[in-house]
Amino acid sequence: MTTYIARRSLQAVFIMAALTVVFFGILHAQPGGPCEYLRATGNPNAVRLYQECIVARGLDQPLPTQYWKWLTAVVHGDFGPDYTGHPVLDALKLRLPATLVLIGTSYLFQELIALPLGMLGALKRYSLYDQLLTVFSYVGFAMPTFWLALMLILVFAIALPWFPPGGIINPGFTVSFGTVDYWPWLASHPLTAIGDLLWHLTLPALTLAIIGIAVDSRFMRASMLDVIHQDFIRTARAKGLARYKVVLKHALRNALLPIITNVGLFIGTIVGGAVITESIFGWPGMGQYFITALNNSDYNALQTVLLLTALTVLFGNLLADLTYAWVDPRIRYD
Amino acid sequence: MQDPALLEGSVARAAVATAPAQGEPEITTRQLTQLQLTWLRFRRHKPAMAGVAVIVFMIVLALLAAVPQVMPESPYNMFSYDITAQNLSPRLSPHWYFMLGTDDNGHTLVSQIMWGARISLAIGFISAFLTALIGVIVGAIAGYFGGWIDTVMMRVTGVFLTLPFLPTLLLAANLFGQGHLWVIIGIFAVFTWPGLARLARSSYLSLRTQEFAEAARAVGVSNTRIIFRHLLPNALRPVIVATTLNVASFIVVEAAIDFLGAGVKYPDASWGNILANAQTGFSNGNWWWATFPGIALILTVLAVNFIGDGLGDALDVRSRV
Repeated sequence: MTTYIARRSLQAVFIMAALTVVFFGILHAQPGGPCEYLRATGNPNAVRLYQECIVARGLDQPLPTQYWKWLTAVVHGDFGPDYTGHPVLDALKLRLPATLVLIGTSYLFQELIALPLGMLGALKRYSLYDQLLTVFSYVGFAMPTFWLALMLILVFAIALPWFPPGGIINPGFTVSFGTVDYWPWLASHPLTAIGDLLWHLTLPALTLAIIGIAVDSRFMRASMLDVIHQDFIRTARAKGLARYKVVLKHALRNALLPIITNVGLFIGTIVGGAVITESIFGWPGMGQYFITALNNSDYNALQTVLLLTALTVLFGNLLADLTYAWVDPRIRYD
Repeated sequence: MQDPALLEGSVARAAVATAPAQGEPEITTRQLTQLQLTWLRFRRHKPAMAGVAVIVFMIVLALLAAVPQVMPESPYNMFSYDITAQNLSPRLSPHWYFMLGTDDNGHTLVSQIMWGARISLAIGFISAFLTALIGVIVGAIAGYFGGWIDTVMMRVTGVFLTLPFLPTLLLAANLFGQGHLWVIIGIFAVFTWPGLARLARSSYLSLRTQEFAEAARAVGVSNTRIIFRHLLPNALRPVIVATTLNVASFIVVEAAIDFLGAGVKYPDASWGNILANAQTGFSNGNWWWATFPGIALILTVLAVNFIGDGLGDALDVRSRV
């Protein structure tokens, strides 16, 4: 097992090294650049400011030199400034909690709903309930996240103004999410703060969860169907065990094995954030940071987000494989 | 999904003799090709046939958009009306003439959706085809030859599969500035072939050791001919099903890229960028602007997925869950 983890980690190092080159290439080929916005201001000194920015960021140097400087800085934990001049690391500290809140809550909610739905679908296969679930899954597969988000805003934020159409915190509160002032404020007004957060969270989390439920309930259904037709289930029933006991104790545990792999894959999606959902709802997380960075050709910010995403994907995949071996002793790595 | 006995029966019935030779008790059977058999099975998959109908409808809409008598050259010209001349509100809710209503500038949604269908269908089908083409060639070579070629190719696909999908596509689309249709198609092909390459590779790995492949090699058939004439027809079934499902996912992802502003842009109407614009109509209650292009998108994707399922059953490929 240890050698397996070591080998996978070594592979991951090589993949990451290859990816830094790929990303660096794609990014520096982008039109404009992190200094471009200075030229667009119409300021009489625009050209001079632009030149200064280029020199200050070392963008006038040959690409291999830039790559090496960037790489050595990153290895020392310095991701450089984003296009506004603030360190990328500070932005991550603000935005990672927002993304974690959104993705974590929606994922938890999604699994709590999807697993029982899928299980029931398998147990009552071809019933009316199962057919409705199937229709829901197919529509959910086909539905783009952004359209669902727009529809939820139209219905629950505009036609019925129950929830805010965007944002993460009531602007009247004078603190903003994730800043140094926010956490003490949260501690002193826990009910107001958490209530407001949940109120803003509902629509974006629901968007992610509905699509996720469509996919995962189908997955759970298939997994459960695989299990309940196996011999050991028939044996357990033949020995006279109650149906609910067989389902909950024997079948469910085995049906959950493939789902656990999914948790590892889910971890891989955390850092990238929900690009689409976050930008529609103005949720100040990693996904929105990525889109802002993209629009400004913000090399450092884009590079950091992409690498962290790739790293968590690799880590998530490894975790998925390891948990799979842990819960299912039939699988051995060496 | 289908009752196997029923299916066998139908195939058997179709294969029954049509005209026994005169005076002889011999039964001649009508030979059915693999394609005919597949079609017989596919036809029985009702959702798939409905999917075919929807796709044909969408293709007709897409083609009609290019007929000058029906649609002029731009999605934003046709059936629009002059706001100043006809004392009307700049946006109209759906009624008999503007069937799906208009956007906030008075342009009918029907023509925008028709032009959007052109982009979505072209991107979905062409890039899925290109992806399959690259994937099969790479996968076939890797799987057939094995050894270091296989190792190198699978390492490369490994790197590609680690790329965060949507962010990478957004970056690549942004790279070429104004999102042109062919640029997007190229990007999809370049970044998504590894999945299909793995699929084709696994087929070729098992096929190359089979006797008919050995026999072909023994009589001196060239490797190229074995790969593409002898093995390809046997490796194609999972590829066809995966490609169909790719069409659906490309249509959705392309719409997402347009929606985020990195893909096809304003003078062209695509389902994704119509939806992005439609957000401006929210404040004045224009709900139809965002609703109908989305429904067109869902119908198309649903139809393609059903066709994929039907093909999976007909070709006996166990696709996704």
